[in-house]
Amino acid sequence: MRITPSRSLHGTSHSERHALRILFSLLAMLALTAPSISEAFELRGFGDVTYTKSDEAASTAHHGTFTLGQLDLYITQPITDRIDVLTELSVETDSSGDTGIDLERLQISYQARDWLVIRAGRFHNLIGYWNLTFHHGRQIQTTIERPTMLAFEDRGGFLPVHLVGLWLSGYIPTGPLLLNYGIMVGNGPKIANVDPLLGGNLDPNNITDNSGNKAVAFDLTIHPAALHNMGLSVCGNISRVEGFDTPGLQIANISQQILCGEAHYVTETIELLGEYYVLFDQDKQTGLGHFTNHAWYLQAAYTFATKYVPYVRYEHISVDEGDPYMTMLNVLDTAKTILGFRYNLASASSVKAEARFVSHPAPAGLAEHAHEFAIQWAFWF
Amino acid sequence: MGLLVLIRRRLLKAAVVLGLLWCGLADVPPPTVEAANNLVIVASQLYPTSRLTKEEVREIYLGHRMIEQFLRIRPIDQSDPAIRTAFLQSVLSLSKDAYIDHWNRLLFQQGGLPPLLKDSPDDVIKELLKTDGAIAYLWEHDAAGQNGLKVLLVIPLK
Repeated sequence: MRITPSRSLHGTSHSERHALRILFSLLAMLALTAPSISEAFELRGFGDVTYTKSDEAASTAHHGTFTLGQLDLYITQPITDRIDVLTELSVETDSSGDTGIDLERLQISYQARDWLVIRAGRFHNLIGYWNLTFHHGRQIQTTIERPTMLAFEDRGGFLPVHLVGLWLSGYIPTGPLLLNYGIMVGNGPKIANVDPLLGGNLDPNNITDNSGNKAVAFDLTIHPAALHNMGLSVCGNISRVEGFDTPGLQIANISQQILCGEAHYVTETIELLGEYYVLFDQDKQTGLGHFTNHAWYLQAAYTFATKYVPYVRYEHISVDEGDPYMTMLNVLDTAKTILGFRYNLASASSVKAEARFVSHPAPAGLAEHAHEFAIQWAFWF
Repeated sequence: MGLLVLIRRRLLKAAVVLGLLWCGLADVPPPTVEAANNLVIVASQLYPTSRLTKEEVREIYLGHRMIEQFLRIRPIDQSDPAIRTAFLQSVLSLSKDAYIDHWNRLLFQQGGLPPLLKDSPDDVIKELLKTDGAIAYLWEHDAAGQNGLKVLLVIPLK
């Protein structure tokens, strides 16, 4: 949920002042409560600074760019022994230099039983491992960036990584298997302000829902009791996505089913991650037919002496040509290979460097290739 | 002058001890009382169950198991590195850093309540008697004879 900047004559936008007020309030609370792991009140946050250089002429990083990452602040606070509140705010600067605040998460939860936790608010959607585990936490993810397919909605993402509504979840030990389940029901997204050339952005509909068709997301994760570090999941998101052009006229009405699966094995030294997404789209408005898109990634990392972490990731996005959903979001076929090295300065700070080889395959020799280099200093406090 | 003599004596004493150790004529200090002790998982008499398995204790301290017969479980940690390390290694098979990292990630992902951290066995016992649903680990001799507590599990240390 972004608070749109509106710059005043004095050079400080309303949203910047608002951001500073919130930051000041949070820091004041921090100072007054002196948190530690033993305290119930926790104010924590993530931040980073990244340098990126690309050989692609159209890239904003073509000349080499330092970028301030998001300052992500979160608080978890119990209200009673059964009711907790979690709030996450992200302060970020966009390409025009304006500072804005995203209300990333606001959730109130009631712990009924181990097998039933009821939450209401705005959540990280139940799709895959990365979205729920790392999200804005760049320090806790091995690599510099998220997989391209899991980009945030306001950064060109095509998967609904946030949802506003209700979330039921639970933990069920069943002898040799430990099960975690989750079901979310909430506002389905829309695609607003679709420009014929630039496309549009996925909008999670934080405030209102433009249609009566609620999105439903689900996840079932299995952990072998004898191998806690391993998990296998099936997940999905079913929704109706309407598209609107710049004047606000409806141009698409997509019935969408996203199915996904993931497998992970994570220890103090080994990290193996893999996720697969398949998107079934059908535009009810134009009757163009059915479209199927695929996206997946594999990532491996190994930690030597707790500090040195070489890693590799391969990502692949395959777009069904003519799919109005992917066309409206300007999604291209993409293959990306990342080779990187991370050095853990401390448990809460690291420096990462990586080389990326990006290609957008196209017929008739029109494929585009780009090489990027990036280095990031990330921290967690 | 006196200081130099003192330093020389200390160095000489240290050299003799090291020499004896090198020759096998002196032993390393005997194990502490705690090292030969058992760990026990304890709660107040009002805690709704009378025994737990090691796997159930593991699930509680990893934040997966949070409710015991409608009561919110409040696990308690100790800041004393000897008992904390013994507990984390024998029950969770985790280092202290990995354990703290696990909880930091869990709180970021889901919110919730982290374990309470107490500085001494006396503080732990006071918290157990004060808080319904509180559960803790203690050395067996610290828990012995404590009124109002019950032992849910004994964990022999190798």
